[in-house]
Amino acid sequence: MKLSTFRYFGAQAWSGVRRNLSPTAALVILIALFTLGAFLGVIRNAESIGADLVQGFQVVAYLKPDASPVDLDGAARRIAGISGVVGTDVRTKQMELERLVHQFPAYKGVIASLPENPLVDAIVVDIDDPERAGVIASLIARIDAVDEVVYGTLAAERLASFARGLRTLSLAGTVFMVVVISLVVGSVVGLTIEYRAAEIEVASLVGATRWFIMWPFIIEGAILALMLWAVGASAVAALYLPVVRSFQNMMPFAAFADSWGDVYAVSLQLLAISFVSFETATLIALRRLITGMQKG
Amino acid sequence: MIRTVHLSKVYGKGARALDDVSLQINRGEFVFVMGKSGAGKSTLFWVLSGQVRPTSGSVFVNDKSIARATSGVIARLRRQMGLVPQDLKLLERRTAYENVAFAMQVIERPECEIKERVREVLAMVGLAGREDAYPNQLSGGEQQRVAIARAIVNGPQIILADEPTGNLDSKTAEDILKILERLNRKGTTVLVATHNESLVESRNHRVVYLERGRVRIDTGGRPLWGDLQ
Repeated sequence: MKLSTFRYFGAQAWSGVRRNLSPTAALVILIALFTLGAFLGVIRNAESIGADLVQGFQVVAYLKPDASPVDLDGAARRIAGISGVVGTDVRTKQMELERLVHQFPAYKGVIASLPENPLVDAIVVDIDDPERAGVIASLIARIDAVDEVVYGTLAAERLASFARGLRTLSLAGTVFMVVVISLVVGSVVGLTIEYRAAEIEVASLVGATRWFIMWPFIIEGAILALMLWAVGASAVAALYLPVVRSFQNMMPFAAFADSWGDVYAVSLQLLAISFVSFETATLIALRRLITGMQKG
Repeated sequence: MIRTVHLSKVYGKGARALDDVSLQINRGEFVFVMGKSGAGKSTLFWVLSGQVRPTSGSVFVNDKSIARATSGVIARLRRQMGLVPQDLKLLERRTAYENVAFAMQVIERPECEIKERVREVLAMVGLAGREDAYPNQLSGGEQQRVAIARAIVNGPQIILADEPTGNLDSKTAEDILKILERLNRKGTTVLVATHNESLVESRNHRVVYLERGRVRIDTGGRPLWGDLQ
């Protein structure tokens, strides 16, 4: 592409932006971009919290009171071999008793006076997916030495369903915002197209290629995306950490995505979505024009 | 140069604009395409320039089939053609110079070549000194000259002029035709759609007469004006 042609494209695109980007359209796009940024932030935090909860999800197998150390070792080995198990932690009844004494030092004397250790050996099992907790628990329960298997059935299901719901809701919101942005951008670029329809028709009649006609609009879409993203992303970046940290203070146990890396990631996602939706809207509007130019 | 074989165009539900049109136009010919309003003159020009796809039949320009050609092929074809549309399609916000220069800009000619060539062509059509006038500051004849200048500025092999003398007084119409004839003498193939019989009568050019989309008379290189009466 020649420099003069590129200058021509740039000048056409910039004049289109200046002429057609009304304050109302800019405001609507900015609000949509900001809302989109908020949805992306929610998705990021939902995934962070979900990943953390999933990582910490455990199944506990309690062995029969008469299980020997050999039974314990054998059960631990068989459990480690089950698909979906990512780690096992053997806790003998002696270790459990010591932990009890450590947790409740006031009852140390009472515990010491017991004729024998009332606790049983246990194996704490880390799994990769809470949704598979039921299946893994039933496999563990089949092992002879195992007396009882405990896992947070309700918690697992609720956790999985909460994470799914939040992600689906945020994705639906993201799609909705992309549609809103595309419609508004489509109408802004549509104004330029309408303004330059005669010029486009003449250009086509004297032998301009389709790309020559389309480039100024594609650049206009990119300028719009970049300008409005810069404003929208700045607002998101300014508010992201304070908002996330206030939630973090309310729920200190939850693993929120509260680093600058997360702010950059959300901003970059917003940029990518802005570009894709702005350019898609532009290309759809252009396609409509070019098809409409065909006389019959 | 231009060949149509059993060319037909039907718009929408049955409006037949062209009906089995077979024509051969050779390099360097000057052809008047005549007919009343709705005879199919404009549709024929639109098909030849790739603005309309025919319903059936074939169109060849410089031996290239354009009936189902891609947009890229059509764009290259139009660089070999100069189109003077019936409604001129001058850009109101551009001067005469800019309107003509635009045709060179869109095919990415260098700026220095554009400056030289546009002034030369505007002088050729008698618009020297009117370069900076906007279309609404020009007379009908001058606007027509700008449209012709834009059509010829890239040195096309073929000119398709759709009613270039419509709404012009006889003197101006005569001047416009003289410009087209001058280009034809230099080797450009010229097709002029018109219903101005007096202009055609006074010339010895080939006449293709369309009626309801069909070729009623084709003088095939001979002026056969009497047959049209």
